[in-house]
Amino acid sequence: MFDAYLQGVQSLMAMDVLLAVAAAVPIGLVFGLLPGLSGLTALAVLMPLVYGMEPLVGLSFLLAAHAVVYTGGSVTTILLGIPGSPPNAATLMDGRPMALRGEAGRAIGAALVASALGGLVGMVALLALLPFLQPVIVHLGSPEVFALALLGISYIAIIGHGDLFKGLAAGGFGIFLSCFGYQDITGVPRFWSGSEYMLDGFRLVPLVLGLFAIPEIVDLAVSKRQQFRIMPDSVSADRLRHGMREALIHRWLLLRAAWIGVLVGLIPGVGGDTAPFVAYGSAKQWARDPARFGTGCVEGVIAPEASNNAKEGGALVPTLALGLPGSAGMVILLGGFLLLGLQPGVGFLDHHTNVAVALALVLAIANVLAVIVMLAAVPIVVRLLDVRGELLAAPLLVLVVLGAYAVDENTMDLLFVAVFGFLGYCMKSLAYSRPALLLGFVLGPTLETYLHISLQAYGASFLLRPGVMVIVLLIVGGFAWPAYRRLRLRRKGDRDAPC
Amino acid sequence: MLTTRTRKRVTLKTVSITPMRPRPNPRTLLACLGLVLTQLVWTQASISEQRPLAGERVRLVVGFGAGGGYDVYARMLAPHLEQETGATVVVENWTGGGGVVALNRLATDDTEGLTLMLVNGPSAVMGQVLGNEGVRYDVSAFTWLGRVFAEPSVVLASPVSPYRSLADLTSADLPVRWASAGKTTTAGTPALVSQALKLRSEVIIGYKGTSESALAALRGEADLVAMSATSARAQAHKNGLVPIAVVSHERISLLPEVATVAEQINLTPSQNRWIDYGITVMGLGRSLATSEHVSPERREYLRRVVKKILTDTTVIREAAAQGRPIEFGPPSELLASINRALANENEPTRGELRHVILEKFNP
Repeated sequence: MFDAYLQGVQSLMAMDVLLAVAAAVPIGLVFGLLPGLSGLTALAVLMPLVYGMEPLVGLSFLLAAHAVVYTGGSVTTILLGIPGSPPNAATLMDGRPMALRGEAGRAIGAALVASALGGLVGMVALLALLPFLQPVIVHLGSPEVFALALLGISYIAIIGHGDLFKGLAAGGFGIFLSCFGYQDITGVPRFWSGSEYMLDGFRLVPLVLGLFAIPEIVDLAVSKRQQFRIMPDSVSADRLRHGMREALIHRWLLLRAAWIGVLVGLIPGVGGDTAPFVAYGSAKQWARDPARFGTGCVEGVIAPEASNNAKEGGALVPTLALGLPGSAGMVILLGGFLLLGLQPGVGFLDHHTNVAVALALVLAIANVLAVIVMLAAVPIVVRLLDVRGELLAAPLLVLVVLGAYAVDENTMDLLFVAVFGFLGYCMKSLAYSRPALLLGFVLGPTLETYLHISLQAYGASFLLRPGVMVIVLLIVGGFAWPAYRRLRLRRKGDRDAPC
Repeated sequence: MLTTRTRKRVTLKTVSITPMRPRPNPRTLLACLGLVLTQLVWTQASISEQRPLAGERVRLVVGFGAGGGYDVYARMLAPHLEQETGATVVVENWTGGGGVVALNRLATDDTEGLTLMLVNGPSAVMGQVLGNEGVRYDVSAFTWLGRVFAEPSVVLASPVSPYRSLADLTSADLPVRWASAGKTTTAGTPALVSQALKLRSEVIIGYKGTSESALAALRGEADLVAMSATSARAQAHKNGLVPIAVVSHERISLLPEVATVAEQINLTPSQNRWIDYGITVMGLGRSLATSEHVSPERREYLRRVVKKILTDTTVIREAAAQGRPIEFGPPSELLASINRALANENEPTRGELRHVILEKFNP
């Protein structure tokens, strides 16, 4: 085994592999910076380029581009309040308020280091789990997927800043929106009203861009105030360094969030988009002062960004070990393996451990390289954005329209960007949680499908499976412990208060 | 002076006359030019007749997203179509409704064969037969150009289940559980096999594709799973799933040791028709089609082109090297299978199929 690890390191040191990684990182970052374009789009676009390449060179190119998309996306999210890719929406909750407070540099520094370290945790997880991959994945079944989705959905109550009722209402509305189109368990479309577009229900990218980008753009366009302007000095080297240091100070939070990312990525079916929300919810739940979350606290940036990049390492585990993609991006990456003449699966690690090790290291190198590139690029991006809000609104709108159209080249997506934009603007004005709506939308189908599968396969006894019981305990404990702690603090305060 | 003039004239005459060849008659020249032009026009017309799509923009549509199996097949075939027709071939992904949206659009396309589609045959037919919502096409009306590749489905058992043959399934005390992505995945093989063998089955659907269904069987969450022969071989080799039957009339080269359903169980004709139906539908495979609105000349031209490409040994070798096998099937055969699969007159009837595939094994 040690020899295979050593061979993996040696294969990675080949000049063509390193060049492929170096070329892929800026491409992936650009995909991340442009609103709406995700890692999935990057892989689909880049796939034809790798045909004819050496397997490790081609796979390194694809993986490196895919892995750093969210790093680029975090910068757009913080600076513009527009998620670079759907999973970056969780970073918005605290990243944007920080930027508006003049702390964009601090937020970006923290996000970049969290992304890089999250990627490193993903690599460590992948390397550590390589020898035990198959039993780990085989023991995590549909009931565990359901329980994890339940854990995620329980955070609706937490991520909704302020009014609990508004958070729950937004989350419930998100679940309702996810009910449109084909139902996985019957194959019958719901609420499609005879429209072909609605056979697949509402799409994620128009929803995210509409909910989050349009209200920001409207604010930029109509407001004469300077409050939306990002001043170049707010992302000075000092401020970036300050943010980077803070990510290291909150290392336990970062590690916990990264492991959440790995776990979510590890289980095929949960869907990687969930990871940053679960990490954010968990960070808020266990924080000493949860009320700070949503107002611009750095922990709210670190947690989702660390989990975003870590989940790729987790998702590679089932892809390599069983040939079962752990996320939508991994489905395309799996196609890349086949195109380059490699077939992941149980036997894969017997003969290609060096490739698996090399890919784990590619994850690490790409994530670190992405931070270096972004640190150099951020001042340029900020300078480009240093114009009056009204002037910035039009090009941003163009980018949003292009981003929404590029996914499926469907003009209906543009219509729904506008519809969800209106909804997002109303929600923002009335202080309803947009991330809660998004979480409900993403997790609604998973919850429904895997509850149905679990009941059919195991009956109600699926609740007694050890994995499910542990996750349910986490959910209950997650709500009970902070409440207990607050009660204890209040009692202590009462005791200490002068009579 | 005169003498000089005369000499000069003579000299001039001599100079002008000596190199001169017989002057061509302008009429002859015109006639030759006309002949050449006629020849050129005739040749051009002949080339256009031979390659009527030269210079045109042809869409090769897939009903699924970029990067998937159909997309890769289409992108592999596009350069060969370009070379053969002289057209610019562009692969387009018309996603939505699991391919239904693209099929609906193809049905109303009137670009005279400039829109081709790589169709998932079993899915297209099953959608129509089962009356799925959103289906507005008629597969029998499409102009079929040829089948690219088809393979039968294979039944695999979970390594932790007690089942190792079809006989084990028929004598099972408990209901057998199948994992599947949808009711019509692999042409509804779980339901058709269960009906033919009179099994007490439950088909658990909702898994995200073949891979996750295979994982469910690997975990023991389901006892059985059905998938295409190529995927079945990969799952058997990679993950230890046990192939127990091939739903085909004869054994297949990919899994030569696995017996067919008919080899394992003596089926009555009324049982066998369900298996036959599954074999017919899976035989439609990945096929090329264009709209019904195409002239007979264009149709024949496109069929010739498709046949030439899909029977070219270089193309076949190149495709096999990419893990995308090609096995050409003629349009006449395809159309005959489609008519059988549509169950307009043959048994099982559409009503029976709807009951068995949509209701009977899906509690």
